[in-house]
Order: sequence, then C-alpha cells, then structure tokens
Amino acid sequence: MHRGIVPPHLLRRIADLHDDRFETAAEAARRALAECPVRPETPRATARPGAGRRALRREVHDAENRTTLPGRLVRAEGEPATGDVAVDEAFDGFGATDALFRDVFARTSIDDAGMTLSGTVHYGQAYDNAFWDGRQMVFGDGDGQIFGRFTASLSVIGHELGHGVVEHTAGLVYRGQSGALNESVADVFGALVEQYAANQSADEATWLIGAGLFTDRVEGQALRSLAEPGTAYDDDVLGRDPQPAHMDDYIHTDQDNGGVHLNSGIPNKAFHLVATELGGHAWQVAGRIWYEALSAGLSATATFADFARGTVEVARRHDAADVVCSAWQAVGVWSTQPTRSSSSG
Amino acid sequence: MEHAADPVLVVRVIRTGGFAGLRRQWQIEAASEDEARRWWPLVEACPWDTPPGECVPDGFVYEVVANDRSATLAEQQLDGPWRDLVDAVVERGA
Ligand SMILES: [Zn+2]
Repeated sequence: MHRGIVPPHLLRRIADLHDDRFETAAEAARRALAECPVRPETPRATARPGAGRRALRREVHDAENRTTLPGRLVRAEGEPATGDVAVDEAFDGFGATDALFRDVFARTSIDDAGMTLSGTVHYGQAYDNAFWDGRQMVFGDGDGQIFGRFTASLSVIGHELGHGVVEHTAGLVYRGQSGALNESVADVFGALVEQYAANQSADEATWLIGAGLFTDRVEGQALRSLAEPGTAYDDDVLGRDPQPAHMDDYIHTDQDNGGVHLNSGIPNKAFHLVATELGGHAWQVAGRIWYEALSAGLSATATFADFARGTVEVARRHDAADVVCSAWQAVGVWSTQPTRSSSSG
Repeated sequence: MEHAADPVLVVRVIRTGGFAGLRRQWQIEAASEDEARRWWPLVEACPWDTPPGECVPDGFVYEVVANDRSATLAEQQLDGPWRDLVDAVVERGA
C-alpha cells in the first residue's frame, strides 16, 4: 500500500539528492521512504569516502596504426580538441558516457572509484573492431569498404565502457548466456548513453547500436537493433542480421564464445519492451532497474532467467514489476508467470 | 620431403566475435605439391596444441583449420607463427 502520490522511485531519487538547495525535500523523501512498504535499498557500491566527488578524468591515446597499447597520449582532461576526429569523438564520447553513469546511476567512472577513462584510437591497420581489454577501450579505423571508424557512433563508445562497468559489477563470464547477457547490458548502456546525450524519450530513440559505422556500400542502418533484433542490416556481402528476439530462436553455437553477439538480441528486446511500455526517458526507470539488477549481487554465471528474476526484484521498488515480468515472458525467457510475492495477485 | 605426398592442403580461417559479431571466413587450397610445400612451413611452425584463450569483450575469435588440425584462438593469442599463418591466409584466401 502506498501512502503518498509520489511514487517510490521518485522519492528515492529525491532522497538521493546531495544538494543543499534540496536538503529539506531530500530529508522528507528519506522519511517517506522509511515508511514505505518496500524493501530497503540495496547498499550502493559508492561507499568509498570521497568517491562520489572525484571528477571526470579522460585520456585518449593514438596507436598510430600499430597494435601496441595504449600508444601515444594525445589528449588528456582539460586539453582542447586536437582536430583528429577519432581522438575527439572518443574524448567526447567518454564524457557523454560518464554523464549517464554519474548523473543517473550515481556511479563514479567504470570502477565507481573514479578511475581514468582511457582509450586508444587508430588501433591496427584497417582494423574493423572496437573492444574493451580489461583496462581500456580500443577503437579501429575500419577498412573503409565495409566499416568506417568505430568512434563514429556514440552507442559504440557507451557499449565498450559498459563492458568495463559489467566487469566491475557482476563480472559476467563472457561465454554462453552470461556472455550474451554481458553483451546485452553493454548494448543497453550504449543505447542509453546516446538517448541521454540527445535527451530522447523511448519513443523518439532509434534503439540502434552502431548507426553510421557501415560505409554507404553496405545495405544496413546499424549493427544491431534493440527494437527489432535481426533487422539492422541485410546485405549481399554481409548477409542478414542474425540476432534472435525470442528464446525459441536461441542460437546454439561454439563460435563467437557461444553466440554472445547473437543471443544478446533476446534480453535486448526485453529491455526495449520495458522501456517503451513505461514510456518517457528510458534511463529513468528501465535503465535504473537494469543497472541495479546488474550491480546488486548478480552471479558471474547468471542465465537470462537469473537476470530476469533480479530485474523483477528491483522493479518492485520502482512500481514496474508487472511490466518487467511481461517483457521477459514476451521474449520467452519465462513461459509462465514466475512465483510472485503474496502482495496483490 | 615428409608431406610431399599430400595431394592437397586446405587452410581455413574463421573469424567470429568482434563488436559486430560478423562471421568472416578465408581459405587457401594448395592444389599442387609445389604450392603445398610453400604453406607447410607456416602450418608446421604453429603450436597446434594451444588451448583456447580467454576472450576480452568484443575481441575476435579465430578458428584455424589446416587439413586435420585445428585450434581456436583469442585475438590476443595471434602472435608469432599464428599471426604469420593467419595473415597469409587472409591475404591470399578470398
Ligand atoms: Zn561488446
């Protein structure tokens, strides 16, 4: 039962405000929350003293088309734009990604302890990839025929940094379902970074990952679509986007670490369903549910169903349990309604 | 020469994973004994008992097959003889 008209998730955001101007409101919200019949907030990992105040620090390096990391430092925090598009896109993209995690999830950098966001551009020759090596992000220039440079899409930068956050939270093992979950969460963060930067609602967003990466020779708008997995590209040379959007089409393969970039379409679709059903800005409720479920004790070997249970648990505190539950059913992760708390049928 | 009798050598490189999750494949077929002899040193130089390494997120995964030998390698393991063989196949194989 709810006493007030202010929903718990909003109360919680107000209670979390650390701003003198809102101290009275925050205090009131904390009191109201204490009376709410909801589970206590999971303790945040931000307990380290001073971590919340550590400022953004970015470094972009240039590999000069070799494969030695990190390469030559070409832009550090506080320094002006270099004029090298890839360098400046990476630098700005780190800033946009940090803004989402800091403002919305109260997370201070990848490790929640203010670590420097570091990346390398111009990696390798005609290198068709971007990756997270456990310490930093790495971006290739693309071959110019299929792919252009990998910094061109903010969703890619958000995705790579998202892998860093996954590594420092649940540490999802990069194989099979936990690996596909790792991929999916990185895609969700990538999409949210873009939406937050453009101030787009769930209805306005493209829900594409890697839009603008393909050259105009390729028939395709992006690498993945969270809204419609399996429809991002359909090209004579590359073939068709192979992502499934339902457990019935789950791909069993030894390649790609067990299809981590393929089966991620299933949880991706679940997130899109939750975000569009709730409406408004996807990062505000849907994004917070996903982030909290990821960072609140999720097992490193979690399956889709394990994660789904975690998101429903968290969603109860955001008055969104039914929506989240329906989404996981819609993509076939749950065939029937899972056991629910005895509250209201 | 030990392998001179082998009529054909097929070396295949399958690359999966990567941010895009796209599957690419390259293959060379040495039709003549002369041609096969040029590839064998590259194949023999590779430590085929290499266990698959841990992949970093979005790193490429390589499956290398040379007739009846095969190995699965994370991108970071593509060093020395493996790099030489894979680069040669990618360069020559359509
Ligand atoms: Zn990834």
